[in-house]
Amino acid sequence: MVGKKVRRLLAVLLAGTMIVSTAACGGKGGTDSDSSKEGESGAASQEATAAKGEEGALVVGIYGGLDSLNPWTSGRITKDMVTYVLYETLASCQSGSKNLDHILMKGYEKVNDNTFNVEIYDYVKDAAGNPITASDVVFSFEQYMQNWATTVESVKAADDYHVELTLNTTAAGAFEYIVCKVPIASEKAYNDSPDKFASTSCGTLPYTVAGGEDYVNGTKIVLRKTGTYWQTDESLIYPGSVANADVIQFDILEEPTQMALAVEEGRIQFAQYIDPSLLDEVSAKENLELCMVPSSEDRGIMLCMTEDSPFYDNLLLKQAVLYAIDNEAVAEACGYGYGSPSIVTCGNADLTIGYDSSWETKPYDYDPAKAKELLKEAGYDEGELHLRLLCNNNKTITTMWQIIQANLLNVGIDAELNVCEGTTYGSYRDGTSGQYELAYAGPGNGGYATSDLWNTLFNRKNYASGATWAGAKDEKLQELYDKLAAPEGYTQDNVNTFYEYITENAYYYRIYDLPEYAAYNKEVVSDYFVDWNRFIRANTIVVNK
Amino acid sequence: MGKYILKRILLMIPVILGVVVLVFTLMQLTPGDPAQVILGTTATDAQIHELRQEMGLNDPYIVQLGRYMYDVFIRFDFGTSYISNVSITLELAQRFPKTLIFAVSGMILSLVIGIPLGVTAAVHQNSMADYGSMTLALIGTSLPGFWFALVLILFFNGKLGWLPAYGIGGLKFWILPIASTAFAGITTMARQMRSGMLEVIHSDYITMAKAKGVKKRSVIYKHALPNALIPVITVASMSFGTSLGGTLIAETIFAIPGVGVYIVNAVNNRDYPVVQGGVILLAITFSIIMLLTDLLIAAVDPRVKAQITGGKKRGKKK
Amino acid sequence: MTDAICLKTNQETVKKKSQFLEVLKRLSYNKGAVFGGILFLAVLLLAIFAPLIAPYDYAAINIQDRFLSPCLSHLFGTDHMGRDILSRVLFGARYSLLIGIGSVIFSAFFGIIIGAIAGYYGGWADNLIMRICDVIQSIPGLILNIALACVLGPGVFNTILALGFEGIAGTARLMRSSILNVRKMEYLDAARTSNCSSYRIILKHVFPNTFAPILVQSTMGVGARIMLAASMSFIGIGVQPPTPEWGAMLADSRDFLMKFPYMCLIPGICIMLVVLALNLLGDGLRDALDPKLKK
Repeated sequence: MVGKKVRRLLAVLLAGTMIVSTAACGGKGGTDSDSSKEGESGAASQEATAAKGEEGALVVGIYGGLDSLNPWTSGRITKDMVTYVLYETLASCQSGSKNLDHILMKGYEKVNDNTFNVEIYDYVKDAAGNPITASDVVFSFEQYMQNWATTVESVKAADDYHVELTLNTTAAGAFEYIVCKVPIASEKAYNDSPDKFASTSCGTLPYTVAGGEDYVNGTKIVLRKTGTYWQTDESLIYPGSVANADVIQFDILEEPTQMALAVEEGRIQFAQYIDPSLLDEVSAKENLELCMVPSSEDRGIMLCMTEDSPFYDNLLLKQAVLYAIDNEAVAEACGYGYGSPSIVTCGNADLTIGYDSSWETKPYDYDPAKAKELLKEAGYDEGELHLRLLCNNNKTITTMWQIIQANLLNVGIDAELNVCEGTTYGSYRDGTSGQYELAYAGPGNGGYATSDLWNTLFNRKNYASGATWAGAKDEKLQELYDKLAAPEGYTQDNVNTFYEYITENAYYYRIYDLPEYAAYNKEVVSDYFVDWNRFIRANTIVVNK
Repeated sequence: MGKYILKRILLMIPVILGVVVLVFTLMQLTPGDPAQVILGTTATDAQIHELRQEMGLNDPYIVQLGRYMYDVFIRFDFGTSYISNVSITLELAQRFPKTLIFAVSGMILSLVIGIPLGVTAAVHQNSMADYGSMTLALIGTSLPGFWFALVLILFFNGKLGWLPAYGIGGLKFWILPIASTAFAGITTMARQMRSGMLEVIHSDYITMAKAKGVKKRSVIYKHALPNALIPVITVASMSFGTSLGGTLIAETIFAIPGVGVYIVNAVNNRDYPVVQGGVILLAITFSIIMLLTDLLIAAVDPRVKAQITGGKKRGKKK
Repeated sequence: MTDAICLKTNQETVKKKSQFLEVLKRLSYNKGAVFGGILFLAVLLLAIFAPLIAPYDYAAINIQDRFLSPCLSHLFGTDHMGRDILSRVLFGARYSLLIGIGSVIFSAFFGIIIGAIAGYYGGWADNLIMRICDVIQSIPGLILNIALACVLGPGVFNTILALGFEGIAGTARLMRSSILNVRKMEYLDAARTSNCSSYRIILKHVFPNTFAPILVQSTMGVGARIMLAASMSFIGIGVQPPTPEWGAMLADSRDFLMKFPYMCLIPGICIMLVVLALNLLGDGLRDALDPKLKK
């Protein structure tokens, strides 16, 4: 009897240790037991701060994809929403504008076609009071270049406040793009920070993240206003750098329904993005207002142009495919009434520099009869052509491609759809990968087409295969592009010629346009500023008292 | 017994090494390139090649594996994330406790609720209580987790407004996430418990005990239950392992920064060191749990214990 | 093709025909099992004859007719692309059942063999197999599935492999522990003394007696795999549109849960019904197969 009791006691004890030891595993798995203890106590103290937001804080809902606050490492647009509220760039420019708004940059001088001499203000200071000098700018550029592919050839400090920037291209917009893109921070602040800016920040805008409870990776980030802003001359303050709210809390919400619910219930005052399927519901709420931001992504279709592709040297077939697509149905199905079928083959009227209303001819508008006719002329009978379609697993994009697939089947083209998760799609989408005949392409469409849209799609120098993204090796196309990218080559004539050439040859087709919508509580938010890369700057949001 | 435990702990080493090799190989086989992910769409192939060289991704498989093993097991360094450059050890230390809360509370709930439910159902086989609890269990096992979580949010947060829908904080914040993950565990446990219990109840020694005139209560709790619990221990610890990774759905929906989301995002970004580090941590945890489970079984099941100690005795005789 | 039939045929090879009939007879006394069996058979028939029954083409998109609530022309309504949900659910049954049953058969087949070897022979074989199982099992299931699905790529067949792989270790472990339980039984000594070969002992004596737990686990497994496939669709990995797999449908409709609950409810109910049927059938089979329950 005693033996039995002992055995039972042992069993209970073991069960107990099982639970206790798992609870203690926080230290076992990691190699750094001190840090894991910190993590645990951090988790415990978080119990105190409710996710509802602190008193008076402006709570902004954003999607995930933010692994670190480091301003230079890559991330989704969500990351820009946060890091550009902490760090400033040399300059900025408004949507569709050619003019630079100076921020840290006092001015610049064009030394030659691809070399620029940038001067920064000599009184720039970050949140910790470190002065920002030319060497910090060079440091920031170098950090950025470790994580992003850029057009920068070299960057050197000429003296304390002058930086010499050399690019590897003469294309219009390349300089503007890079000075608007690279966040600047002090090298000293970076080295002083406990974890290389991962959970804390020290930028030139008057907000900082203190880390600890204020930075819970994947859940929330709290930005607190610090005393003064370095730019004391009010006439020189960039409108995107205005600091309004005292405390900004970013809540990370991965699920679209969660985001919509949160803004409807007032748990967040500003939702970065509302899924199109939920827009009707959100806009029906009296206290909510939608804010439209032009989409920074062209939603297009790319035709594989390698020699193995049926599209190679077969313009009629390319046109047949484009005419077969019911762009209105795609716009409706993806946009729920908020999208519109495209009236151009690429570009955005509000964003693309050089966009011309003469482009708006509704090329390749839905015409299944014509598609069938062209298909026959191209030498294919019904059911003879088999195409592989490729897209990523984004919900809206998958919807778009299911409709395209159905449309192609309708005109007698056998279409097989391959939906891949993002990175696999990324490695397949190069035309030379041989993985598709038709693929989704979402090039950025802002600013100069030679620094974004057409650079991505058609600049053969970007691809080791020596062909365009879709695998085309068209000499005429390259000639036109080189002309456009030459110094002073970005003229309306050249832009139009290029547009017409790619349209006639059906290289790429933007199917529909869907602006992005943010939503905010108008009882709380009265004003905000939309910055050049099409996101709303949380620091400029004016909160009603 | 002590020798057995030591042996088991030593046996964990090859298992963890096996996990490293398996995960490392899987990541190598996955299409997609971390350098491409880091540099983005506009990167030229030359830039990608250069970064791959810098990251050591161009080295042969075995060199990369060896280097990783050296870093982890000799230098005790999980490295930094490819994407964010943040120390993986630090990140895991912050995230692991949250995942553990899920797993431990799920297991406790499934034991505390599932076992009595299963026992009751088995004891009162074919009664209303049996049908009732088993119907509930059936529904529980057939509800897709994420769907259930969304319904819970819509109901308790959207309609009633009782509980917060996302984020971390006090106890209140954990109710919905834990409820959505633990429900399946509870019902699985109840069903398993019922099966096991029924099997035991119909065995000869229980009939014998009944025939001897032992009280029904005593038969159930002293004779039947301990025996029926043995397979349940295995099931419970295995579902603990499942929930270590299975919480990632709840972590996504409820915006809880746990290890699951961390690993899956890393899989999507081809952030190899994060995937490997995260999986190693979970695997070590799981191995410890399994060791404890086996010890627990040995403690309660004399047959298994005899097997363990018996082997040792035989060894001594030789 | 189906779990039930597969198990029954196994049964046939293992036991004599008369015993198989007896099991069936005992099964027929169990109302739940009969109900589950009929339900499952009905779903199976619907899946097989889906092209004949489905009122519409499951992939036919009609944007004008989207979000139609259940009505006469669309009994289950239409989805966000105007596709007929009834037709999609019917065709979806094919994919969901295929994934659920396929992956369970895949893992049961290899799991039983490996587990039997480990459990019966013991020694170094047991050690090696169990360590390999430890490796597989110590990686959380869903994460392993996702990693495998990433390696293999999307598609129904690849999803079956990704889902089935992890289950091998689970089944093997269960098989082994059951065998450990029956190994010491007297009837095995009896078989051994009567010069039975190891193969014969495993197949004729050990296997039938370890069958019940595997059966219970497998029936639960089919449903669990259907749901795992749904979870993977939720993350955007595994079976992809336009395949009308139930889990993918469920994941696809999650944003409409508030506004158009039927879109989400219908595939959810389908999953529930199939899992319910399989569980009832499995429980019934377990009772019917258990010689200890003979009366």
